[in-house]
Amino acid sequence: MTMDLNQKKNDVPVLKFQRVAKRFPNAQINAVNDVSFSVNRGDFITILGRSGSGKTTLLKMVNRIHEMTAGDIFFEGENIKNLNLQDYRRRVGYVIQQIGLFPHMTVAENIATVPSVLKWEKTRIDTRVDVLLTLVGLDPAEYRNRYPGKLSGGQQQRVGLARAMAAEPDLMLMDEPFGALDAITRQTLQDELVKIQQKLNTTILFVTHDIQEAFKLGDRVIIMDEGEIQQYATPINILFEPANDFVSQLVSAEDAVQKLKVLRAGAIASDLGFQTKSGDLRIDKDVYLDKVLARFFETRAEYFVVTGKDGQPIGQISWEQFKNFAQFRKDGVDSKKEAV
Amino acid sequence: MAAFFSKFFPYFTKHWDDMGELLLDHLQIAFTVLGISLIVSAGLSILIYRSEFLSTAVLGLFGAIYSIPSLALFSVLVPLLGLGKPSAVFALVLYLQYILIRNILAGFHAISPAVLEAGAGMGLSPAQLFLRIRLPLALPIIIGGMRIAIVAAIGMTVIAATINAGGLGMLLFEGLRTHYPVKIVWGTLLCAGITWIANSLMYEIEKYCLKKANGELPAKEVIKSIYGKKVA
Amino acid sequence: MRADIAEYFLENQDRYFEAILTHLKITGIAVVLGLLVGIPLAVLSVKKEKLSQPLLHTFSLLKMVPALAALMLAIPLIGTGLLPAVIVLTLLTVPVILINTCLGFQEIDSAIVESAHAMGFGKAYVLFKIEFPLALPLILTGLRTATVEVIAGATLAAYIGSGGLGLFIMTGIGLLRWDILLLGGGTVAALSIIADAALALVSRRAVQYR
Repeated sequence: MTMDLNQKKNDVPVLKFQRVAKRFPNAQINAVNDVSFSVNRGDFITILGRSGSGKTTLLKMVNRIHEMTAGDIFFEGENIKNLNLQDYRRRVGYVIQQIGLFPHMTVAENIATVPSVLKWEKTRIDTRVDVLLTLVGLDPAEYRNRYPGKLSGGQQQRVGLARAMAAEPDLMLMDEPFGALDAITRQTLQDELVKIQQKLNTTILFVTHDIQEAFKLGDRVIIMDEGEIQQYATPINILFEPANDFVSQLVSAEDAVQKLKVLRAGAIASDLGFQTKSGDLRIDKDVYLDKVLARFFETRAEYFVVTGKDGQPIGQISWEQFKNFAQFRKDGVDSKKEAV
Repeated sequence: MAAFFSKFFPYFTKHWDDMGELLLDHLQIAFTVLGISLIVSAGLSILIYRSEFLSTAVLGLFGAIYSIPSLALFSVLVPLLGLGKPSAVFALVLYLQYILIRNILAGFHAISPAVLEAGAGMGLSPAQLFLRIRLPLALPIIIGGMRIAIVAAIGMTVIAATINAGGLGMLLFEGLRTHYPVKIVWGTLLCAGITWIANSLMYEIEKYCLKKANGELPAKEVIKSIYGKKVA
Repeated sequence: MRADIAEYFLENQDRYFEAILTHLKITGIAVVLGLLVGIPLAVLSVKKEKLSQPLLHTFSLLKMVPALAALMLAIPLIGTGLLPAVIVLTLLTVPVILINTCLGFQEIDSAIVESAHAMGFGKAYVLFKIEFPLALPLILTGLRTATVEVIAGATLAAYIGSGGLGLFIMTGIGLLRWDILLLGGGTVAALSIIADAALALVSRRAVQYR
């Protein structure tokens, strides 16, 4: 019986939008218009768009902060309109830009909010709080009993993240969670989020207006404009095959140099094909191509060995290859390699 | 002066039970009024909380009532409810609405929307959201309002003596009528005394609630903005 | 009832209008004196840090004494009539005006004052041309609250023989004549609502000017 359930869980998309639309009262046009897409288990989907594009409205319809005016949304196969609202929301983690930690509760109490509402036993909650704090990079002993007012923005958002994950949600909704933080903290948290997501195989829907963030974090990206999905594809596909002029302009698909800022070494590395020597120059797969170009100039190397986890060689990039970058077609580039 | 002081303390020893009775009477009126006022203001606040129009209208109405001197307010009610406690209690309940409703609304409106959105989004039911989040955060300002209200109630109960409602004001009027300043002084002292105690007690409670709401705006700053001075 | 009130009014118009006048006189004098005392004291306490705490404390304590009691206590010391009423009611207004003026000054962004001094403006100039206008909204709030409180106090002052509309209320209660009672009470109510609303309007206008 359990096997069947697990099987079912993996077959059914975690989230499915079917012709969903939203029009606010007294509005002339739909904020979100006829949107359909699915999200599978373990996907990290970023939703990219300008302000007013409908991206936040889209997200907020998932946990029914906004109610859709047309269409259906299915969560693990069930129509969310038929689910008990609070039970449903407790299965979906929610992280917002302004963070919204409860100022009158300690960090531990904040994180424990949903578990305590679900009536978990105290020991289970305490353990969970410690696990989560460690996961988001905060020492439990030091942070458990602190109040949000005494935390920095970055620390607060880490707690916000932990709080959203407390009850082991099937889906995480994140609305520009790092938007209010300084650039350095943002980078750090982005990297940590990716690690967490890979470790737990969490399904995430992440809204942002920052192209680099969207492409860095997302397995696939939904590009929204004027309430409609302009393109829903992997970053590579978007770059090399933009669906329309809007997308093309947005990601500067015509601009070769711009592409360098969005792709990483691992995406274009070709097969190793030879035995690495000690003198070989190496470059990590997560280095962005503009930095790779800079390294080429600095070192005048003919090629770099691309390394993956633990410094293991996984591929190579040659100068020749790089020079012809503009002619790369998308089949010469594979984003899955990055996950190695 | 000497004549005064020679009679001052003996008066207490001779009449402390009478004074005590009036004191208790006074407190009883004040607390009854406060209790009824809280229930009424809570009910009204629930009704008008969501509507800006209603909030402004209701606060405007009670604000006008608040500006009326208590003696005048009593005198308007006496033809309806007669002399004595009923008129006083009714008038005071009306009077306190402005302070209490204003502070209740302010307290709840002061909560950061992000906090409420996060709470709702994570699946807290409206009741849980209210008890665990809204109430503790709004409490300092509400208690602040209660503090002002009880001080006002004690003060105005003194005046209620003019319509035979009882309380320490009776002592004052006896002293005035019989040209016996000692009574007036005792009345004043007792009244100022219970005002001070009530104010201090409520202030401690208010401070405690504020600390609990940790990291929230100090109550003073929020109330300043309701007075109409928008800090740029 | 309405007929009774109208009748009583027509018979006693002189006394009625005299009462209103007395009431307004007491209010006016007390408020003006309160401003003359309260505002300088407030400025003093804001400028001299050491004075501010004791001053504010003293006046907060003064607020605890009920107006009625204060009025009565003035009799053995000053006598009955207008004088004790005016003195006591002035004392009543000072705390309100003081606290609000202090608040008004404290609210001013210190950067503004600093830059004014840096530009070479003298203390007096800064005080009158910059600080006062900026503190005005709160000062006006204090004025409004004080005025309403004094109208209330002046009503009570009838009990110590100063006249005013409280006299009608007193008489009405004493004679169990609700028509007289309502005439007095209604007029006071109207007076205070009008004063409160008028000052609120003035306050708003002053703020708009910024």
